[in-house]
Amino acid sequence: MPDSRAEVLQGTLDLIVLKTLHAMGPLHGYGIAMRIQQVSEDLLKLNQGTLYPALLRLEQKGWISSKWGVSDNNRKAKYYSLTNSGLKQLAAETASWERMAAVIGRLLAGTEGA
Amino acid sequence: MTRLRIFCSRLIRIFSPRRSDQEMDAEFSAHLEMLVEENMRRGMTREEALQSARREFGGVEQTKESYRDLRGLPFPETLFQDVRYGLRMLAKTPTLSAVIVVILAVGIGCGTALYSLIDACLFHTAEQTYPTVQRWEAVRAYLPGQKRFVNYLSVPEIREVKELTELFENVGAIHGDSFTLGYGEFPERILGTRVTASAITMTHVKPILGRTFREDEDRPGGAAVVVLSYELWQRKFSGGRNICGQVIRLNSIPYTIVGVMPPHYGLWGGELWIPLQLNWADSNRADRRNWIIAVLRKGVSEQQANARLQALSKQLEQQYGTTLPEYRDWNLSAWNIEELVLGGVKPAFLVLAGAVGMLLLVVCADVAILLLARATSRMREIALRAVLGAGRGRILRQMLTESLLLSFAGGALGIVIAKACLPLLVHLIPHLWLTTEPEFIQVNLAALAVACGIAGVTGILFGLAPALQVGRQNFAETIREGGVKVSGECGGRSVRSILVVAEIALSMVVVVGAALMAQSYRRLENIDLGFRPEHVLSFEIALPDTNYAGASQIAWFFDRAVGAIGALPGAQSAGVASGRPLGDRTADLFSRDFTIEGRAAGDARGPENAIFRIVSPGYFGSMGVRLVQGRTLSEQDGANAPRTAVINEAMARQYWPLGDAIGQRIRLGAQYGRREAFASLAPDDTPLTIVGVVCNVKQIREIDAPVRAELYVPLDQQANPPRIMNVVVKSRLEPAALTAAIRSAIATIDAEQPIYDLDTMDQLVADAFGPKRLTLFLLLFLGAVVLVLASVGLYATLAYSVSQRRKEIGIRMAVGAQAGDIRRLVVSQGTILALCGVAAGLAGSLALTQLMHALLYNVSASDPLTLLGVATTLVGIALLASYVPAHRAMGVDPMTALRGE
Repeated sequence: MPDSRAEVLQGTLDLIVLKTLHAMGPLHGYGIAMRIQQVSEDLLKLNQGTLYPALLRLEQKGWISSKWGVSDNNRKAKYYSLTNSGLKQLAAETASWERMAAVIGRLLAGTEGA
Repeated sequence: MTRLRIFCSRLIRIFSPRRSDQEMDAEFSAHLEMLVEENMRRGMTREEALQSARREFGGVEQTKESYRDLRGLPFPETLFQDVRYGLRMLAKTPTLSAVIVVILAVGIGCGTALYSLIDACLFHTAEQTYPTVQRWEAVRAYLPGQKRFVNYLSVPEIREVKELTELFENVGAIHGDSFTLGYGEFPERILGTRVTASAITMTHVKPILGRTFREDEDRPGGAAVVVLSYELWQRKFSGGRNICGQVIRLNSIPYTIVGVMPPHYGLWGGELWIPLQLNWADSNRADRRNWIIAVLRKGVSEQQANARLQALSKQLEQQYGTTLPEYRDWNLSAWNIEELVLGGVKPAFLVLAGAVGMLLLVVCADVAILLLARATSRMREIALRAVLGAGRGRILRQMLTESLLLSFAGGALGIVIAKACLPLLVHLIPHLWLTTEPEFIQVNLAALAVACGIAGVTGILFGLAPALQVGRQNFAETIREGGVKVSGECGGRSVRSILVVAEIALSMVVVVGAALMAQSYRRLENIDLGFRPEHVLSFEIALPDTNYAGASQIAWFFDRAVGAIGALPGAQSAGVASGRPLGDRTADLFSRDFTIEGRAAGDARGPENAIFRIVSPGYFGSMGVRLVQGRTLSEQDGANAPRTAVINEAMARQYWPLGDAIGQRIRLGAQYGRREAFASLAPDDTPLTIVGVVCNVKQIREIDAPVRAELYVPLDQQANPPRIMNVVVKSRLEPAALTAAIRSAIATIDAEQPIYDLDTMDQLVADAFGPKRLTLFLLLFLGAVVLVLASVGLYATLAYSVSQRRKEIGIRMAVGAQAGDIRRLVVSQGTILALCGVAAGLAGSLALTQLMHALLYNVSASDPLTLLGVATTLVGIALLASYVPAHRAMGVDPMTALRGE
């Protein structure tokens, strides 16, 4: 049976993570994964493991920061939160994504019309 | 900015990989646990929940790996890993690794040390001190009739060359001399050079103290001034800054010091310089006593200069050819001074440099063979790693790391060897044989870099070979085969065979060179020197003209000296001569033209010429110069007796081939050479009668140079005897035991008269043989090293091949092959390789040893006996090197071999 779920587009995972942290506040990796699956209503195919290299990359760039904390069910977990520069980056990436989406949308609409 | 931060954060984590690994594990397992809990809440069993969690998370290990890659700086981190792993792998085969490192080190170390020595002595001797040395020329004349160079030229000739201003930016004249320096406790004999003022300024080297000569000091009657070398200034005057203006006595004449030259300025062969004070109005063309030195104008080639000089020669011939027969076919030409000075040692150094190059090649071949063998035996491991997920790049990097580790270790050890060897080498070589100052001989960094580079590249190339095969290999097959397939190994085997053959061929060339040198040296050692050096002591005495103004005083002194020394207990006899055998480095001896009574004065070939020596009657007996015909000089050849002369065999054979030299009369003509010994030889037309013929004596240190015609005349018959004479003493005891007695004997005649250059003739012989012996020693050393390396290469190849063919050997034995058959199998493989190598080496030797021609004495460069001997030796060594692996092959247990591992 072919899998109809979409692959996460290269480069969009960063935006998704940033946006999730922006919307939800500090979260651990599991929480972020759950939230993404929830919002995408399981349409997005995400190996939860791939989240961690992305988190590390974002942290290295200084857009998010991490801190060990305790989860709801008393488990030690690493919590990630958005930094100020992360916030700026989110705004910039959101804008550029919207521009891109608009262009692609127009392009596709035009193609269909022809 | 961001990039920098990423780099820093990654850098930090490199140094605490364990801690961040633990953090990563904790984070991932927390995530997995949460997933499991969630799944269990949905009603799965723990097993199912775990499986589903792993699926959702994706490959945990892959994630960790990519996480790690991101976290650290990937290259340095894996580099550490590679290095650690590489070291472990190298340590697994300690002997092989050690052998590779030692071979590399020996090659790099010996090669660099030897090359540094050669380079310092040959290629960069003078440039450090004299920036314009490439344009310095000596102008000398060639007399084709006599096949002889005239280095010393007359004042009018110097003037004519000086006028060729379109060729030379500067022309000067020099005259080597020696002086007794009366300063300090003992008078000392010092080599100095009389120079025109231009001869110092033309070098563009400035004095470090004071000045050089002014024009007004360099003319007859000019001031008596002297410029010191740095070394003399340090040694005798302890480097005093206020030396200029001080007066020293040279040959008892006061000279004012005007300047000091910088260190290593030993130009024109002396430790001090005084103005030559040529009388430019002098028109005597027959009195030739100065070298001409000149600096070519920039852009003027030696050929252009020679063409113009030839025109000058023709002009001189037309003008003076009738009165001065030496001008017939006379040919002036310019010779680069460095070439002239180094010409004699150049062939030896070039041959040595060639041998060093071959050593390096053999080292490379050896390393390549060993690495190939090592790598091929690791095919299985590499295949396994590839199957387990290592990328091709990663494997390449691993192999590269191991090769580089070996290269680095070899290079480092090589540098240590070079650093340690070079001073030892320089120390072992007598100063006399070096053409440069020992402090200029440093490890040549360029040579070191080249040697390390070549060795490194070889290491990398052949270290990588197996990894490069990975792409073409069926891993599963490789692993199943338990190593390398018997057929698939053919490529590596043929490369190794070629390398071994090349190695044997190269070592053959080097060994043939060494053997030829040894042959030549043996013949040279048996050469008849023309005198008997055993128990003979000689030294020089220079009488100052202040105390010994005339012929009678000079004759009186030497007469007394010979008498006193000859009468010493322990002394057998004594004599004096105006020069001692093996005394000069080159064929630059004082000579005179002569004519034979009853023959036309100089035929078409120009005048006759012979080396000219003034001796006392006791000289021949003391020096052990054998009489061939007639008689030697004796007391009867006194001042008032008929003038006599003794000639050498070469002269007798050249001019009186029928053996009728005795009784013939000759007249002396123009003179060539240094003035010091012959202060003022007045033209003298009295004929000399030849009374005896003595054997040829090797007068110069180039022992293999042909002996020239030579003429001995008695001291007592000279109107102006030389002030500088060599005293020769034949002793009954060890000659060195006589030194003190000799000194006091001279002191009783003249307490202020120093003696110097006191040497045993044995020592002079040893010095003369020195450069040849050095070349021989170095070549033999190189030959031995190369031979050992080649045997190691052959041994490694065979040993490896045996280990690879275990299965085949096992089968052969299982179907009935005897131990002897197996031995024959291996030994014949070795023999075939050796024979191929020897054949190639033979061809190489025949081609390359021709270049050694100039070094060889009485041995043909393609001496069949030498070639045969070396070939046999090499094959013998090859058989020996094959025997051990063959023996091992015989011990193969067919059952074990067939069972696989």
